[in-house]
Amino acid sequence: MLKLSNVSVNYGVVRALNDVSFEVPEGHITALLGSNGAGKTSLLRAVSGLVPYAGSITFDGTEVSKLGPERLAREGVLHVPEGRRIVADLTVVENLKLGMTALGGRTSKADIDGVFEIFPALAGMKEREGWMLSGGEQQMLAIGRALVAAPRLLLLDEPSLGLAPVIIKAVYEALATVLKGTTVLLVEQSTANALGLCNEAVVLAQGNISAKGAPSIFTREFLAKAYLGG
Amino acid sequence: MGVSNTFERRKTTPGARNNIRNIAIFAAIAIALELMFGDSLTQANLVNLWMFYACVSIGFYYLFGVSGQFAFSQAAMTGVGAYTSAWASRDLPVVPAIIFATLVTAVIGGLFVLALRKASHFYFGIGTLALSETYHILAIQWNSFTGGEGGEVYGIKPLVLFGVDFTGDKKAFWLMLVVACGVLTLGAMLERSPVIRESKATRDQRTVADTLGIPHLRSRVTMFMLGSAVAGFVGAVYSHWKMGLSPNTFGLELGLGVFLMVILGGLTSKWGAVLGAAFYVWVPELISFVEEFKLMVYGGILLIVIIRLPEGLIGIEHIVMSRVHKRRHKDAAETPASIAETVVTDLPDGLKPNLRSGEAIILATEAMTVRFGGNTAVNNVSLELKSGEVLGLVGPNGSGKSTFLNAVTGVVPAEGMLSIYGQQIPLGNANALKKAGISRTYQSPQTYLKLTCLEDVLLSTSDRKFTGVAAAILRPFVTLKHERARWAIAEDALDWVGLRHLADVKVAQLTYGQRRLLELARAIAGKTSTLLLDEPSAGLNASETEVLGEYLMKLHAAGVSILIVDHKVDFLNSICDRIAVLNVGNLITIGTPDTVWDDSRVVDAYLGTQ
Amino acid sequence: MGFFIENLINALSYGAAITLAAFSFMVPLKATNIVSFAQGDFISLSAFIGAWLITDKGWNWSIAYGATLVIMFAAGVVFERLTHGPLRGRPVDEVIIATLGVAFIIRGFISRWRGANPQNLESPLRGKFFTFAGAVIPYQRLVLIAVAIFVTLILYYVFQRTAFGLQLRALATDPEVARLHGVRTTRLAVIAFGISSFLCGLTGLLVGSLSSFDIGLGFAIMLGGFCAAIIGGWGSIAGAFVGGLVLSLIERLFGAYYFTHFREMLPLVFLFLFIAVRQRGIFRGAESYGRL
Repeated sequence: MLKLSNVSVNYGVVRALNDVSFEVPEGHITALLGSNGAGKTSLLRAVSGLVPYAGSITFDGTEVSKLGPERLAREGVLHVPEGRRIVADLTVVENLKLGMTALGGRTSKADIDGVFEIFPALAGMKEREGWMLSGGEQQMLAIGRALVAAPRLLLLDEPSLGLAPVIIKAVYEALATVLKGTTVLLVEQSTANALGLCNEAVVLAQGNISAKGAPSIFTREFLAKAYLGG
Repeated sequence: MGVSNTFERRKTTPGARNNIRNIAIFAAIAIALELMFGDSLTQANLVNLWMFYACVSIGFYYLFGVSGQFAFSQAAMTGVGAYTSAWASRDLPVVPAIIFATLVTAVIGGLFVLALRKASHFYFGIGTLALSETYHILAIQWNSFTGGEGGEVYGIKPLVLFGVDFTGDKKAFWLMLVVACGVLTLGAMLERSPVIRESKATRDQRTVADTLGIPHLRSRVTMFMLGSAVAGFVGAVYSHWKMGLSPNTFGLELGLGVFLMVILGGLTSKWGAVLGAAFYVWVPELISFVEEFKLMVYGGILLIVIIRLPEGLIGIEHIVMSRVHKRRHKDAAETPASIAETVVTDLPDGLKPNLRSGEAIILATEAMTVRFGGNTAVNNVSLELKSGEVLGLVGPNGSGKSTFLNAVTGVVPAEGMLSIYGQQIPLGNANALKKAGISRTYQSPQTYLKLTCLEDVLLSTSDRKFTGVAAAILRPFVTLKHERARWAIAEDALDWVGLRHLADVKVAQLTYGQRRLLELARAIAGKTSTLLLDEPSAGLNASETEVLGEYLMKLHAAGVSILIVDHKVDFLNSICDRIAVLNVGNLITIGTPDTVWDDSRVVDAYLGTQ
Repeated sequence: MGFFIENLINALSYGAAITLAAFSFMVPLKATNIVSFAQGDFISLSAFIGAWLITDKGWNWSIAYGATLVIMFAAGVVFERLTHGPLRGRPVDEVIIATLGVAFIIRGFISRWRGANPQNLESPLRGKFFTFAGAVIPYQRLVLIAVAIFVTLILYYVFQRTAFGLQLRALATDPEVARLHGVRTTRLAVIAFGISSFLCGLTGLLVGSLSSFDIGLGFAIMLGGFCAAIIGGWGSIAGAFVGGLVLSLIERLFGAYYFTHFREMLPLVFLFLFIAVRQRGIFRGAESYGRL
């Protein structure tokens, strides 16, 4: 479904991503792990067309490097950015309506009410403006905002960022049910949850792939070493 | 050690010598034009107008180009000076009238900026538009002041000096030449003082300037006053040269015209304004069909320049010069030395921090909390930085480390208590930290791309005496003396981090790693005793990180206390005395590098296991 | 009484004009964060085009109005392609200066084309009036007021209820997120500038037919529009409406009795006060462009 070949990203004089290649098969959830600064977010931003890159990225067999993020979104590549980025001035419902922009004629089985079924916590605050929501609520809304556009490829950037463990758990439980059958590239620093959800994991370090495989090979000891050294 | 004496101290800025030469060239060109074409009445007038417009737009260059204040009021300020001087000269001799008018415009400009000090960029611009319109209404309606119906004034007293009355274009030429050279000299004096770089620093990143202890309001107010005063002064001279005034001379067309002049000429130097003024005056004259389409041509040029040549005509020279330069200094420009090869020496004596003895705790927070909307980014964090220690602050992404640092330095609003050397200080006071010798660096290096490396480092030097516009103009030699001392410190700091050979190179040309070191040099030049570092190793490779670690250890050895936020575990282990771990805004543990990582709570925080 | 009513209507119609002008830079502001300083000249341009089509070409007023508005929309599209389009990603100041460049061009074009003579824009209601309580009330002024109210309601509906409005508001707050959700920023910017110019056209046609005008017509209205938008609360539709109302009453009604010679300064004084003391305006926060 998604194929990266020799993708590199530079920010001015800094190289964030170095010649990375891998594939995400249709219907699979691939987790992208690694410590801060490893290049995970840069990779996601390259896929959704937000940053220029060298190399090639194909989605569903088509080369996407020339398409801007708005075009890709309408093709079904939905990116839930790091830090959630809820439009602060829009209400919960308006944020979800914004999400439907990306449908652009495609049909969706999920609608706005569907989001409230998945995340009942949001149902009671339909008219609340985005800036008033808590981090967990914002995360749910950001995911919902992507889901209403019937994503063919979902890019999730650190859904656990800055959330308390109990909220992370709730978010991941919801993800486990809704993401069945969706192709997902999930960036996470909080590895345990991501490994519980994904079919395959890729570990980035300093812009390079340092390990790749089924989630079972990434033991606590392995990851503690990869993250914390010693 | 002792490196500080091995190179020759700079006596002046690289631009200063050029200034004298360029002002001489300018005067020579003006005189040549006058001698060649001065017999034609129109041409004589145009030469004078050129110098007049050049002065108005040089003033505008300082308040818009250097200080970054978007203003439509420059022409109106010229008009204020002109009418005020005409009014004052009814009772006063002309020279005091001109001085009075200059002061009046300066005061109006200063009060205007003070009143609108909280206004955002747009609002300020619209405010200046309103100021310009106010001038226009007053000039037309306030007949008792202007002394003419609808602002049309005749018979203003001429300027008589040494028995010569400077009226008529031939005699006025010499007057305008002196005025223009005077304004250019004023600019040269400013360029030799800290004024220009501090204004630019305030313009480009105000929060960083604040943490460096640069008073941004003073910078904005004085630059606006300066720009307005120059306009008012030449306006006043104009009124006595022409002996008559009309409100539309200084109308909105000139207000927009000054934009054309500085942008066409180039916003990077006062010479851009001089070039732009020449263009503004002569293009409609030289190309006959242009006169009819003057405004359209001006507009079209403005559009093309802004899209295709954002640096203006001066920019062409820069492009050419930098090519020549590159060829000459191929090694310096094209192969910047990797910072990994830097040999780290001890901190030279000239840069030794001013340490306070007998204080055990430098910085302490109590129950520090930061909320964004419905989120708590930092929750009740109490942390102490002990004298002379290196304290690491770590935690997974989003755990609130940088926010904590921002709260301490007053970049984000927070609740809780902060004390420095045992004394409680109000939150949000960047200056108090700077005064206590505490400096910080940023997650991505916050260096000033448009300044040279030396200028960037100079921003933090602790000697704040003789840094203002008034000092630069009234006490030029004392200012220069202090400036030389600052140069010496800044060069030592650059030398220590191995960047002295790049002192006069624009920061934009540095590699990422070099910018990191530049930021460190800037912190050191302020004789800082405490460093707060936000992810200093981000973007550096392993060997570069190692060099950074060596620098930090040298600072540690010199007695500097360091609070460091970072992600690289090996790097932190090699330099930290203690490491504190944050998760979801809470401080979960604090310990030594050899024990803290074995804490299962830390592992859980990082791996997201519970 | 008659004097009061005449001045009240006079004030309200002036308020209507500056409210329309305020809307004309609010729409592109939301889409692009750019304040255009060429709006005044666009207002003048439309009045000149209208006068030319009706007086010189002898067109029927309704066709001429329609044609002018179409031309103005197109001019707005060209304007976007000349300024905001090529300068994407550059500092806001540079884009604003580019709009100044266009202002120069339009101004130069008008004076080259029509000269400095006062112009007259015919309309079916021009010069027609009725008297009420001793006050002479021209129909044309009432039309201007009615159109401003109508446009306010329409804009409010568009911003609040349509997908287009929602996309504009998202774009105003977070352009990157808007793009990630399929908002076509370039297209939206072009449309927003077109609408903006269209609104300038409407303003120019309606104000231009009140009395004879010259090239300075638009500038005063633009300045009033800025004042109205700031006093009401930058970016707020309701705010611009109320701001226009308040300002017009101050300048044209209060100013009819006091400070008559300097009454044009009154809104400027209020503008200063608001910028200095209460930047949020009467209604909303200065930062929240996305809200109404």
